[in-house]
Amino acid sequence: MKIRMRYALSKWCSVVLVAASAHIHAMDFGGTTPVIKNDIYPGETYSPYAQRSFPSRVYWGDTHLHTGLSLDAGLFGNILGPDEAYRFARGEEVVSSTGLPVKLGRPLDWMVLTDHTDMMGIATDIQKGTPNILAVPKGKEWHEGFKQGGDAAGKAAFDLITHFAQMKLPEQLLNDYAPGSRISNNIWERIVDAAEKYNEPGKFTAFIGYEWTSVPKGMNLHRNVILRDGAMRAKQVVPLTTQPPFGTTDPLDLYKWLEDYEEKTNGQAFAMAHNGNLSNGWMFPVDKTYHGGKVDKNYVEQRARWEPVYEVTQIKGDGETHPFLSPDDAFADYENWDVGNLDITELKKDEMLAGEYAREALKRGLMLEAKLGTNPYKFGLGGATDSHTALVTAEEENFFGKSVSVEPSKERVNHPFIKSELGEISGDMSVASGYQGVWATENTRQAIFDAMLRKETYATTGPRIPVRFFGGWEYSDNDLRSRAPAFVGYKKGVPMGGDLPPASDGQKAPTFMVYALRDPIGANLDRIQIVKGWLDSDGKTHERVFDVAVSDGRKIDADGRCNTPVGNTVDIEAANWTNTIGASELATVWTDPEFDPNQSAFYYARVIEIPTPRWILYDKVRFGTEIPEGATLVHQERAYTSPIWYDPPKG
Amino acid sequence: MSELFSRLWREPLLHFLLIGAALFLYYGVVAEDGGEAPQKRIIVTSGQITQLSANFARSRMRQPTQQELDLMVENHVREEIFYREAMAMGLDQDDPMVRRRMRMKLEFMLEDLSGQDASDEVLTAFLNQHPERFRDEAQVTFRQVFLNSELRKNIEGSARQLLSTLNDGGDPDALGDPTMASRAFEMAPQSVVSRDFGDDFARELFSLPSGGWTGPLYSPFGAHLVRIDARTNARVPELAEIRSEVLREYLVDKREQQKNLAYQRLREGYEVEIEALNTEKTGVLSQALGETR
Repeated sequence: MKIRMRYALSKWCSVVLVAASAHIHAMDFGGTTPVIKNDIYPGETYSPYAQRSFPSRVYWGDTHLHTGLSLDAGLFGNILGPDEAYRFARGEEVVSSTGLPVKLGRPLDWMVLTDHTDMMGIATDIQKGTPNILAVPKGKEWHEGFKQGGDAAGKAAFDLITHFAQMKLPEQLLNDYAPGSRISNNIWERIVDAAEKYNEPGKFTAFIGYEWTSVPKGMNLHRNVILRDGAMRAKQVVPLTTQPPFGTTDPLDLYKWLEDYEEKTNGQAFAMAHNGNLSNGWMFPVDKTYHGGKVDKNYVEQRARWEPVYEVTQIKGDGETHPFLSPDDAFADYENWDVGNLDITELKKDEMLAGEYAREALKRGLMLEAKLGTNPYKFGLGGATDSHTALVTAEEENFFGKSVSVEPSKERVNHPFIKSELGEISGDMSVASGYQGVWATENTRQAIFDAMLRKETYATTGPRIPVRFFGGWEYSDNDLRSRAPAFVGYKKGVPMGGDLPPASDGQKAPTFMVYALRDPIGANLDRIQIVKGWLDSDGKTHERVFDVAVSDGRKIDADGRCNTPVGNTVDIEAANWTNTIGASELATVWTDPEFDPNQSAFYYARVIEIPTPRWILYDKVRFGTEIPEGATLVHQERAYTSPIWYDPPKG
Repeated sequence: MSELFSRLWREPLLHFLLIGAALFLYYGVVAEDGGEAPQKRIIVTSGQITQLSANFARSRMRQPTQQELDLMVENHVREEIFYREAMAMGLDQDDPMVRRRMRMKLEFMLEDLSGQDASDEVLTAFLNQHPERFRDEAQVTFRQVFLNSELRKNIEGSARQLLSTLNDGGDPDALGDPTMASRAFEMAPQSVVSRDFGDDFARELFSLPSGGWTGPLYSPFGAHLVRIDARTNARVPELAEIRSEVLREYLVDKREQQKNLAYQRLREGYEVEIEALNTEKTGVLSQALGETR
């Protein structure tokens, strides 16, 4: 009996939370499966102000953030919840878990809060009216009350609390609900409710999502799940977890969950993987999967369907490419984490790298497509923080770290991210990265989600660099000089994330129109590059990086390289730089000089900023922190666009 | 009757009484319980098994197999045993993670007790007290013609020349230097202009009168001639237009107050003794911290 009384009290706690759920939610918008039309961008319009039918603005956001609701974040001392997380992302000042006031330099336009979630409990069961609740007269009464909402719901909640407090809960219900973490059972509800509360179409988009934290034997196979829909659909399901038997670590099971979600709710969702760099080769398999499966027709089709975007850069390392994989790429050595798997229970070996990095995966995708008919790694690129502080900070001079334990302090740089008997990822290696730009027609769940599905999205390591990238067959320099290059971009070809249309007669090589503006409050640009990957007739993949637009009148040689560095204005003592080098805008139309119409290929743009201070330099200047030897103080931040693919004509 | 309930429901005193009662019961039970060996009887009821099964079905969207169900039950028993043993050993004591989690749970309770709705009168008052939180920004419809400072040596001179051409009816689409930035904006709030051209440009633009070409204004990209074609002033919307937003803000504020109030009340029930600190030994700063930047 004693024990039962304690249970009753913990139940009392959970039932109080029912009150939160009794709230009536805003209706979902849309929800039917959108058809992505190829003719979505019809021509120009006379009036310069007329509504564009193509996306004319880039919306900045983060697909990956944890609050104190995530157990791991909570364990590190995060006491902020979704309210603070959203308010911060929207540009308001909040107080961090360590008591520091913090505000973003500029608000974000959208965010996906991706806490790790767990099962649900009695509160939601009463709301849903599960059979065991309805079997008890009182349970039925409460359920009816919550269904009615308003005063009836308030009354039901009151009645429920009274019954709990007075230990008068029906025996049957007492027996039904085992002790445990009642609060965690309500986490999904909290997440959904918070997203509904802060989602304001046109102003700020709050997506409903969660992180599926699959990490078998320390191999990072994490995916974030993003829903297009609102509470009405989201509350019909519970997130997939990873602890058996409730959960599973196999991505194929996650795809099944996504399929079931769409079928059950008529909604839409996709998964976005991240940190292949901590998977020891398992993120992008070519023959067998970690879970003992084969990379077969089913696998490639499922993966292509459910994973349209990959998170390429974040606090735990940049995952575009690695010097081992791209020895000819002068900019490949950037914020790589290559010590081992996520918990460093297994060290990294060179041969694992190919299964970890985005560029190599894009190449592997071409190879698998030739073999199996579908490219499983035909993904667009996104960036996110994966911050566990509830604070989406990706600015170097305003970086609040991976977790509460490394919020700004003099000594934080000396806290290793992880340390095992085998190795260490030191604190200075944390990356103040990244954000995701989305070219969407408006700032709503539907428009941004759909833009991500068509991969009209790109990653940056933090700066908000506007980048356009189009592929077609007949772009010319004149198009760049037209009054609105984007018009021509959409008219004559496809934007980032698209497939090159078939060439007509006489068109020998694809042309790409690319342009970038510097972040208006950030650093000038060093260069724009186009990265090409292709599959040769022997089934081997290749890559090449072309410099296509460079600043300060530097020359690009016949090999498509500019070997003259842009220079460096960083003042190490003051953590400062000047925009006296580099360009505020770069633009060009580039034609592939070695195009072979029989080879499948992809092209993406990489925009490089001039050198600026890394976050640890700000720590040094502000706190007098002693920087560990060998730590990188200055870097060149960048943007990665989604690729444009070329498929040779069949037959 | 229902009004009485809803009023009762909103009454903070009631919440404190309830919490107090709960705490009283809790401590009563715990005190009696303390240090005793855990109960050695675990009954997994059919209701609990149904519940485990239902939880599984909700996250996997299918029924569990018998094997999965058995595993869940066994896990449930294992967790229960470890939980009881650990509690009996007092492992929950002084564990910062447990403590933090408990604090969070109680804070959530307090937050949720503060209600989900408020009357229009209350919200209108809140709106009137905090107009700055709900103000719609001023917006302008404008066009810009760009002058690239990297291409032109005498940017002021070029600007003057171009300005008169524009004011004489020159076609803005055919004039100026190429730029990737948009040339026309419709009803853009200052924050949007700020994001594209920087704060200084935006501030200056919004201080300009409508009609006629003017400038140059400077942005990080160069010089711009601008013409404002339409504008709306900043305004505070009526409650009906933004009720859910006001409610959200109101509840956030109220929750914070309730939480603090509850903490104060709870704290009053405690005798808190804080020993004097030898500041020389522990090295407390003698004055407030200055700007770190």
